[in-house]
Amino acid sequence: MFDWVSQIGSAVSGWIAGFPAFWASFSSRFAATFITGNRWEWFLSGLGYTLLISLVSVILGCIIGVVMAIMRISKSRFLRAVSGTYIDVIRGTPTMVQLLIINYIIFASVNIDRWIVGSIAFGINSGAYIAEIVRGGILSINAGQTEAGRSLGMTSGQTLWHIVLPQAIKNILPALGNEFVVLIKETAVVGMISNIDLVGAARRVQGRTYDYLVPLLAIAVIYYVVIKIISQLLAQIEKAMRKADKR
Amino acid sequence: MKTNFKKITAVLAAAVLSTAVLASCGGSDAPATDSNASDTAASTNGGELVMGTNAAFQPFEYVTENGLVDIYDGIDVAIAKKIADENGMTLKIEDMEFDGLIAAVSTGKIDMAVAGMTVTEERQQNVDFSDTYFTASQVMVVQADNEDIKTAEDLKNNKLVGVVLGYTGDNIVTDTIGVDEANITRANRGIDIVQDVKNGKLDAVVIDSATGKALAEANGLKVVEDPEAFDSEEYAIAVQKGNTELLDKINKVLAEMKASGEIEELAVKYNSEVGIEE
Repeated sequence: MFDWVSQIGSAVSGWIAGFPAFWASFSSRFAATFITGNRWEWFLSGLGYTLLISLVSVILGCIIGVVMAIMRISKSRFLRAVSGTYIDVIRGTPTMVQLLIINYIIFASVNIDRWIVGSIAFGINSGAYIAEIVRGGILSINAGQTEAGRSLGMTSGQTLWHIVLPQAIKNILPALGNEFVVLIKETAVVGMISNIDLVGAARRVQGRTYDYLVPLLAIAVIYYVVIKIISQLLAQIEKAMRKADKR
Repeated sequence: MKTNFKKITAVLAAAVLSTAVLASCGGSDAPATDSNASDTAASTNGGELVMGTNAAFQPFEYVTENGLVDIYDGIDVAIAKKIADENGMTLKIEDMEFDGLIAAVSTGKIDMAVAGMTVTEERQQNVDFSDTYFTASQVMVVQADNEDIKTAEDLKNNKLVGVVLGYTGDNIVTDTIGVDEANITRANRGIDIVQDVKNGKLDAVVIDSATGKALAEANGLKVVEDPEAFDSEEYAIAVQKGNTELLDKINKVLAEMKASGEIEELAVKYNSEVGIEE
C-alpha cells in the first residue's frame, strides 16, 4: 500500500546516482536539442507563437471583458443574463475543453490558421475572467463620481464612458497585466490543436532525439525568463502610474 | 490555521525526505544507471507485464467497448496478450502519447512499447527492438475527389500537409520529401489530423498504411500510395536497452506466431473489423 513511498525514494536516489552521468552528457544533449539541424529555430518560432497567441488573446479578452462587464451591470435583465451565463459557463469549464470545442466543432470546417483558432479560444476564455476584473474595477469607483456626472447632465452611458471607465481601467491595469502573464502559461495547452508553440517545439525535439529531459528543462527556463522579464516590465509601469497619483 | 498548515506541511516534507533518504541508503535500484537496467522491470518475475501504446492506431491498437484487454483491442494488443499469457503474466496497458513511448521504455516506466512502432536507427540508440512482425509503408490520405495529389512530390506543390508528432510520417514529410515547414501541421493523434483533411483544412495527411486505410474508410476519404517515395518499414516491439530476458520471451512468441500464420490471421481479422479490404 505504501509502495509509492519507496518508489519516490528510489526515484530520488536514482536521480542522485544518475546525476554525474547526466552532467557528463549534458553538453552533447544540449547540442542535440538546440544546435543539430538548427533546432533552436524551432524554439524561437515556438516562443513567437506562444507570445503572439497570448498577446492577441489578451487584447481580444479585454474587448470581450469590457463589453461583458458593462452588460453585467446594465439595467437590462436580458443583457445581464447573457453575460452572466457567458461568464458562468466559461469559468466553469476547463480551458483545454473550450479549445477543443472551438477547434473541432465551432471552427470545424473553417480554414483559418491554427494560431488564430487558438487565440480566439484563449481570448474567449480570458474574456470571462477579464469581465470580472473590469466589473470589480467599475464598482470600485466611488458612486459619487457617477452622481457628479449625472448631475452635470450627462447620460448614464456618457458618465460610464467619460468618467467611470477611465478611472476603472487605471485601477485594473495591473490585474490585466497579470492576466497576460497567466495567458502565456495557459497557452501551453495549444498543442492539443497543433504543436506550434514552445511546448510543441520541445516535443518535436523529443520526437527526434528521444531525450525528454533537456528539451523540457529548456522550455521551463525559457518560460521562466520570458515571464520574469514581462512581470518586471509590468511592475515598472505600475510604479510609474502610482507616481502620477501623488500630487 | 496558518500555523497549523505550516506544521502539517513541515511534517509531510520531513516524512517524504526521510523516506527518500532511507530508501536510498537501502541501496534500492537506480533506474538511471545502466548496470541494473535488465532487472528494473517487475515483468521478469512473472507478475505484471506493462505494455505502453497509443490506442489511436487502428487496426493495431484502439479503444472499444469489449476489448481484448480492458477497453483495448487490436493486432498489437492480441500479440502482447499472447506474450503475457505464455509467460504466466498479466498484461497491463498504459495508453499514452506516441512520442512519449521511447522515453517511457528507456526509463523503465513501461516494460515494452507495442505500438506499431517502426524500427529506425534513431530509436535503436535508445531502446532495443524485438524481431519485426509487420511490414508497412506510409500513405497519403486525401479527400475522395482529390486529383492533385498523385505522388509524394506533389505535396511540395504548396500543399498543406498533416502528420502525427513523432510518427515516421513526420520525419519523411519534413526531411525526406522536404515540405515547406510553414505548410506542415503536427497533431497528437491520427484521428485528429484526419478530421482536418475531411473538413478541407489540410490537403493530405501522411501516415502509416494500415491506419491510414482505416481512417480513410471511416471518414469517407481516399488513400494515395507512392511506393517509390515511401520505403517499406518494419514494426517491432521496443524494450529497455539490455533487457534481453524480456526480449527473448517476446521473440520466442513472435517466432511461434509467425510460423503458425497467427499474425497474418490477426491482420486479416482486425483489418476486416475496421473495414479494410486487403
